[in-house]
Order: sequence, then C-alpha cells, then structure tokens
Amino acid sequence: MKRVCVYCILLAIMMLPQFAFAQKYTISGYIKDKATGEDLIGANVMVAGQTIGTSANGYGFYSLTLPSGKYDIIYSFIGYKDDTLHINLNADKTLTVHLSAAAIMTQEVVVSAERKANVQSSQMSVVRLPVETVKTLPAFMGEVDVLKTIQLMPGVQSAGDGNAGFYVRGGGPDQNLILLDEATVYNASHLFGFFSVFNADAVKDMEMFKGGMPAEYGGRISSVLNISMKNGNMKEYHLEGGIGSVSSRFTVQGPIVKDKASFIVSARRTYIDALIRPFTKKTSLLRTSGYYFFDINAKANWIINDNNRLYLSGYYGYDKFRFGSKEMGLNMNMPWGNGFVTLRYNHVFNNKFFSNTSLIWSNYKFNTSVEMLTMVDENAENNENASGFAIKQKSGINDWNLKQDFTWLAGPKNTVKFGVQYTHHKFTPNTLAAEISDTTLGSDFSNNNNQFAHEVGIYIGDDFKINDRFTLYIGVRNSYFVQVGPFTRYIKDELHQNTIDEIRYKDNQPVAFYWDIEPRASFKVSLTENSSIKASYMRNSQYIHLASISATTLPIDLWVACSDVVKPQKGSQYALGYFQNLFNDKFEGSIEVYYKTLKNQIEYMDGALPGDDISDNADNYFIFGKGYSYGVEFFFKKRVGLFTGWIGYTWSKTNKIFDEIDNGEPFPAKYDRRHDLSVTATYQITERLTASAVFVYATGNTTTLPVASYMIDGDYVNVYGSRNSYRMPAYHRLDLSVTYDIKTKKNWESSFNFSIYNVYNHKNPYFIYVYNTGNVKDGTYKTVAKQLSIIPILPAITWNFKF
Amino acid sequence: MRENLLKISIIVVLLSLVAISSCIKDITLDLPQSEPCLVVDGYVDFDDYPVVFLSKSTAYFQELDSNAVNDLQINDTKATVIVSDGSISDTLQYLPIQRWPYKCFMGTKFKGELNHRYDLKILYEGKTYTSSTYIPDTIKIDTVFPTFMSDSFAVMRINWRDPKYQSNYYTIHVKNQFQPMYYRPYALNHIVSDKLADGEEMSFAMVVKGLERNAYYDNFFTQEERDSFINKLGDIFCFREGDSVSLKLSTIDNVSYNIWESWYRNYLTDGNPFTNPATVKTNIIAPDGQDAKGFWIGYGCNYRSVYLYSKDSVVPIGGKF
Repeated sequence: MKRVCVYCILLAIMMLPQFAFAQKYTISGYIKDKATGEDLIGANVMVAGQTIGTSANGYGFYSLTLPSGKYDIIYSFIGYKDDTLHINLNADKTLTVHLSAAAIMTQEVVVSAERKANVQSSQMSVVRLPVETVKTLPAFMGEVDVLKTIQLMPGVQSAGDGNAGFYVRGGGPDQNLILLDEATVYNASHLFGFFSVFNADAVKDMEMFKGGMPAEYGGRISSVLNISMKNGNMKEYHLEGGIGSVSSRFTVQGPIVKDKASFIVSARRTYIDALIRPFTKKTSLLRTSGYYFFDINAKANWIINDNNRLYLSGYYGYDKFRFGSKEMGLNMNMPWGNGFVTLRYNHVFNNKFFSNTSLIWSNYKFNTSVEMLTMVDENAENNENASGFAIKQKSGINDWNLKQDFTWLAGPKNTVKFGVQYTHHKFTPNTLAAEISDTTLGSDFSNNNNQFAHEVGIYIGDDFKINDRFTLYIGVRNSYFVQVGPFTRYIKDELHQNTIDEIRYKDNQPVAFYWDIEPRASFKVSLTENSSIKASYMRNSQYIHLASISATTLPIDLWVACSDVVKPQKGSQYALGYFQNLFNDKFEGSIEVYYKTLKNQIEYMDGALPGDDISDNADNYFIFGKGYSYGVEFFFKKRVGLFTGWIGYTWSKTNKIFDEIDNGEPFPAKYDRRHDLSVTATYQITERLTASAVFVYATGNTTTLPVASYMIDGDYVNVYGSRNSYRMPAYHRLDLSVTYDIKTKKNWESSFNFSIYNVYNHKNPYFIYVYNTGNVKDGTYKTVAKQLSIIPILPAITWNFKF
Repeated sequence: MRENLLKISIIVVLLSLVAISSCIKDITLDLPQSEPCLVVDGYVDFDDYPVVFLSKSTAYFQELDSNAVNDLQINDTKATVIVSDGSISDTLQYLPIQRWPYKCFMGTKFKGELNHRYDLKILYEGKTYTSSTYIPDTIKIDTVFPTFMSDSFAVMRINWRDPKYQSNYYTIHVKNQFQPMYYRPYALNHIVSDKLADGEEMSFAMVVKGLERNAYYDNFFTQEERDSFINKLGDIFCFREGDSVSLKLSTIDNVSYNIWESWYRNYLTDGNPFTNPATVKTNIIAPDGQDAKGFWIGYGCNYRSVYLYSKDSVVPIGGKF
C-alpha cells in the first residue's frame, strides 16, 4: 500500500505544473497520408527552432499546446516529406495535416526531429519498424514477414527454424503481448513458425517494447508487440497482391464514402497441397494428405465527424494439416487458428482530451481428430459405413475484452494516459471425445473442465519533460484476476497418481484471486543534442501461462490460466542504455544492458506426456520455479541513403531454477543464448533494382541428452545429463533477395522479388536425437546420434502488383 | 506470364521438396563422462525366493559387445546381497537362472509373503546400499479367456475386480509353454492403476504374447521377422490354438508403481525431442557421494492359466506353470 501512495503522489506532482502556466492555446487534429488518407501513427509534430514537440497517437491524433504567438510547425514521418506550416496561434486550432509519401527513403525526407526521436524520447528498449523496411528484406518463401523481421533486432530472438515463438530478453514465448488492432493474438504464426499471421499488405505500423513497458500495456511480463492494421484508402480503390511459389495474397481497399469511410480486405492462402495434387497418383498419400494456411484481415472505419470515429476490424486465420487415406484406414485432421473482431470508437472530448473505447472478441483454438476407418471394400459402391473409431481433441481460449483508454495531452511537455481494461477469459484445456461409428463414448473420455476468469487492469502513466535535458515517464498499473466456477479441482494423492478427492465450484464461485501493483518508470538524460542515457524499470504480472511439453514451441502447447494451484507469473526488469546518433543523424547506435527476474514459472513434470491431463486438471502436472536473465545489446543502424541496414548483437544469459530439476541448481533455459547476431543490408542499385541481404548467427539452443545407460529387466534405460546441459551447434544462415520494379504504367505497379533463403545451405539443427540399434550378442549394438535440419537452401519467386 | 510463373513456381516447390528430404545427418556428440554406478534389478514375488541382478551403468556411447556387457555384471566375488523379512536375514546365493545373464543372486531361506516388508542390503566396493519394498495383498484374477481375431490368432483377455476406496496398482505379465520360466510384461506399459476406474471391473484385452525386454542382449525378433513385421504380426503377438497361456496379475505398492511409470515415461521420451526427458526413479539408497540406479520391488502375484484347445474350447489349467 505504501508503494501505491508513493506512486500516486509522484503522479500528482507531475500533473501539477499544467495549472500553473499562463494563457495557452492548443493545435490538435490528425496526421494522415495524402494519397490514401491513412492515419500516420507516431508522426512527429515539432516547433521549428525549439525542442518542443509531440507525436501522433495510435489513431493519428495529435495535440500541441503552446503559449500564444507565431510558430513554424514541422510535421514529419519516416518515409514522408515533411510539411511546415506557419501558424499564428491566438486561439485553439484544429488542423488535420496530410503528408506525401516519399518515393525513396533518402536523406532529405527525414527531418532531424524525426531522426532524433530515438535519442530524445524517454522511452527505451523500443523497436519501431516501418512495413516498407520489412518489405525490402529477403522473405522466407517470398512471404514478407513482420514477425521474422522483428526477430532481427537485438534482444529479440527466434528459437530457430520451425519454432513458432520468439523470445524477448530471456522471457518465454507466452510472455509477449501480441496485439493486432488491440486484440490479443495467442498464436502468431502459421506452420510452426515458418510464417507469421500478420499479412504485411494489411499492416500499417508496428512497435515493440522489450522493456520499460508503458502502463497501458499489461498482462504479459516480457514485451509488447503492437501491430496496427491499415484503415483502407479513403480516396480511391486499389487492388494489390502477390503471386508466389507457395502462396498468394490479395488486398482490396477503397472508400465507402470518400474521405468519410473506407474499408480494406486482405487475404492469403498457401497452395503447396493444391500444386502437388495433379502430379500424384490417385492412391498416393500425397493426394489425400497436405497442409495449407489461410487468413483474412478486414477492416472498415467511419469518420462520423471531426470528433468521432468508428473502426471495425477483424482477422480470421487457420492452419490445416491433413494426413491419411482411405487405403491406410486412417484420417487425421489438425486445424488450428485465431480469430478476432474489434469494434473501436474514438472520441475527441476537446483538443487535449482523446478517448478510445474498444470492444474485442478473440478466439484461439487447436483441434485434432484422428479417425481409424474400418477396412473398406474397394469394390463396394457405397462406403458410408467406413467410419470406425474416432478420437477428437480440442483446446482453446475465448476472450471478451472491454477497454476504455483516455489520453490527456496536458501540454507540450506532458502527456497523461489512463484507463481501464476488463477481460473475460474462457480457457478450454485439452478436451477429448471418442466416437465409435456415430456413438460418442461415455464421460470417461470427455473433460470439459474449462477455466473461466475475469481480469481487470487500471492504469495511469505520465510522460513528462522536466526540461531540455531530463524526461521522465512514470506509470502504475493495478491488475486483478479472479478465476470463477464452474470448475472441478482434482486432489491427488501424495505420489501424484490417484485422485483422492474433488472440489466442485459452482457458477461464478471464486476459485482463486490475485492482484498486483505494477510500477513502470523510464528516465532520460540528454548528454548532447545527439546522445542520451536512459534507464527504465518495470514490474509486470501475468495471469496466464503457456505450458510447453516439448523442447520446441508448437501449437500443442497449452494455454492455462492462473488457478488455486498456478500462481501469476511476475517479472521485473531493470534496463540502462546509451543512445548516440552520428554523422548528422545518418547513423544511430545504442547499447542497452538489462537484468530481469521471473517468478512463478511453470514446466511440465519430468516425463509428462500429452493426455496426462485427461479427467484431471492440467496444472496437476506442472512444477513451479523461477528464472533470471541478463544481457547486453548493441545496435548500429544506417538509416538513410541508397545503402541502409543494421547490425544487432546480443550477449545474454538466461537461467531457470526449479526445486524438482537438478536438485534446485540453476539450469540454462532452452532459449538461453550467449551470442545472437543479425546483420541486414539493403542497397538500391538503380531506381528499379534493389538488393538486400540478411545474415544471422546464434549460439545453439540447449537440449537434454542421455549421458549414460544401464540395463534393467532385460532392457536398457537412459540416464540423462543435467537439464539443458547440451548445446546444439550454432545456428547461422544468409538470405539474399533482389526486387525488380517493372516499368510502371499509370495506376499500375508491379515487381518481381527473387529470394534465396539459407544461401549456403547450412544444415541448422532443428533437434538432435539419439537411438540404438542392433544387439549385443552379435556385436552389432551401437548408439547413434542424428541431427535433423528442416530448411535447406530455398529459392522463392514472387510477383507483386498494385493498381 | 502467369503460366511461366506457375511453371517456375512448381519447379521451385519441387526443388524445395527434394532438398527438404535430405536433412538428417549423423553427428558426433561430445558428452560429459559419467562415472559408472551400481544398478540393482531386484524383486521378490509372493511365494517365491528373492532375486537380484547387479550390474554397472555405462557411458551412453560406449561400444558394447558380449564381453563388454558381461564385464558390466557384478557377481558374488564383488558384492554381497542380504534380504531380510524383519526376523530372518538371508545372504543370497549366486545361482544359475534360465535367463540372460544366466546367473543371479537368489534367496534360499524364505519365500515372499503377502503384506510383508522386505529390506535389501548390498555390500559393494566397501559401501552399503539399501532398499525396502512391500508385497501388497494379492487380487484374484476373475477370468482369463481368448478373443480370436481370426480363425487362428487370438489375444487374451484378463478380468478382475478392483477394490473400491483404495489406490491399487498392478502389473500384468504373460507367458506361454514355449517361453522360458520368465513371465513377460504383457505390453510395453505393463502397469495399471485404478486412477480412472476405482472399484470397477478391470478388463484388459490386449494381453498378447508379451514383450521380450531382453532384446538388449538377445533379440526376441529375428531380422527376417523384423523385415516382414506386418505380415507376421499375428505370429509374433498372438496366441494360436494349441497354446497354453499363463497370466500373472501382481499388485505392487505405490512406490513401485511410480518407479515403473517413470520407466515407461523414460521409454516413451527416449530420443523424442518433443517431450521433456524422464528420469527413471529408483528406490535404492546409495551412501553419500555414490549414486545407484534400479529398483527392488515386491509383487503380490496371482496366476491363471488356460489351454487353447480350439477356438470354441478353452480349458483352465490352474495357476503358474
């Protein structure tokens, strides 16, 4: 409680100065793209010759309060020509500004105000990547991927090929809050991480907080990746897309009512399955088996008037894997995916007070069905009776979320954000049903032990510029979580084998209740105009966990909520950084160090197997521990000119401590990584020809391998080394791509992108496995170690068009 | 243009598939050396003498042939094994047995009794290793009968009634007249708990010929059998008319069940990168600074045997044979 009081007093002191100033006026409005009418999130507004300024919020709204007088106001944004307006400020003004996109991102179009943002803002550990940058880099199978590009930044690491999750500063993949138009995305990838669910054609902007998370974000302890979808062109209709070797995508956008309402619909599908089918025999397994993913993004928005705006956005995507054939007597289907719908309402109360109300429904599900067909008489005309035994499995999450956010642009030096968020969760742990012909088997197989929970977050944060040198952000978030019935708790015996008792909770009866105060703070000191030191602290609570039974991140991983057994994850992070711009802001560099502690981490028990939780609580199979991570990140970027690119390097160490593992000794996390290097380079060879390259190097992932064996009951048994004590070979690869813009006609643009993934065909380890063959008697017994690599050199070609 | 693109795409996809199919390679692992430790494989059946095999563990990538494996065995010149039922202590004799490695430490003074605890003491290299186990009350097999899958092949079904309001743990073993004295685990996972069916009628239909875990030394299947595995599935796993079949249902205590379950989990997670590895639990207590593996388990055995005279005629032939 004492901590709460201290924070409230600090916040109150920071807000006080507003009331002490003399007569001032406010300029407010939206900053938009001239050609499309899209809001420019994060665009800068600066007073020429001064260091006073602001930036547009997540909806393109800005507000700048200044003493009365004459000003030159510069509006700027990455990739756009800046616009300077001369303003005689003697009354409040509403000014919506339209910026023109620059053809090439050259030096001239980025004003110094924009270029200094990384040095001058109080925020540290933040990554902003324009989608245009993402699109210039080599893409896996030609599919531009915002998530993969984020993983090239220091402190953000991929777990390697075929892993869906990403890891931020030693945090697990469940500790990243991934938002697409404010809706939580639980599963951010297709095909075990080879593709992300974010269609780059539909994405407008993305930013990631690796640390120093502002108070408006909560519920995750490591990072926030906030992705905004495009609103749709307000001026004219456009169709764009790409036809690639494994997938194609199409986007259509345009005005519903010109300058008032617009829409965008973007869809993708892979078609390896459809391409292969014509080349296979009728009886081939390849014909009846296959994989594809499909996703669609859709959004509409309506500017009711200057002060009111409505957005409706949605996403639906799924992966579907099918295996088996009638001849095999087996039919396995595995669909999984996400969907959400977001309704948002922006209201400008006055030129300093902005509000957003969001109602969000989001859903994630993972299903598997395996049908064993009874042997079919091939000559029979009617094989309707072919169904035999079927097992169906389901798991998922369903959320309803209501948010009310306010932004009070109290002054050019002070922005206050506050609000409240409510989420209703429904978690479906692994649910099994078995069917014989059309009869569903009894309750022994079904387990509808859903978890229902309410989560509330209340926050306030203030970004306050003390003077030209010092800027302070301070915020606090108060989170509550309550799990409610219906719910059945199965009590296990001391050996964890048998259920000896059950506790049944009625509808809405509280099962577990948790709350926390989560302080957040960042501080910046400018050393010179081009350099600064920043420090940040954040403490977060997370009320959901992702239980991963495997060494890799797969869709079979189970989302579980906190319960009477599972406590909330808690993370604290301290970070310190030095930021420097060089050569007239052509280059930027930074060094950040961090230390992070993680509490109430979960792991499956030794040797837990999928299906253990049937007729049981999944959390009865967890063990609990803690972890810590520390590291240093170097980042150096050339951001303007014909040659652009960056180098990111991270040195880090992440350990976990569980009483049940290795007698409570610290062991490396599976994503513990000593060295992580990413180099990207893009060179504009001619006006039409662009070449780019990406190189990554990462210390190998850890794994647990047997170190000894012994014989018992006539068979041998493995003795494992300490957890994650073996490190796989390092991961490295080089990707290249070339984009050629075909001569553009009026209203028609097209380009070819040719890319090669893993150019030198390095066999990066996906996993290592060991086994033995032969027998001792004839001297053929031996133990073998194998390494599986999944992505060799992969060329891809994509034709992109826009008209 | 699109047609060309489609052709190029197909070529690219096919090339990719070819490339993907060749991504497994042999590697050499540099694993830390582990010290060999004592391994105990001991049991005491109801109405039978205690049996203990002793050996040493070996480095994972150690090359093994008959000589090397024999060298891992610990005989009576290196160790002394004593079993006590609380009143009598029996120093086990190193005697021949009808199973590889054809010699073991065997009791001569007393046989296992129901609801009795048995303590094990091993003196090895000047150090004392101990353990203790319990033979729970036996549960009677209700019926044993075959289910014919075809005219010639049958699997066995075993039924018994699980006592209600108590946790019960079982193992099922099986043998036929051609097999040596040893009852084989009826399947890979030969343990049963009443976790999901307390007090219910227990019925297991997949009691087939049994798995020979001895494959480590003396392969149960010949190479030909492996090659034509599917064709010979019936022959390998199923019983035929004319077979005599004996089933052994044993009760074990929860410690023993936990050990066997960890053994089973170790088997399933062995080499499986999609799970956490499972360590096989042990109830052998090693002296400070030493490690020991293995187990000492008491079985409350109950036997039922039948003769499959024909598909329609099954003749009970009593208990153990």
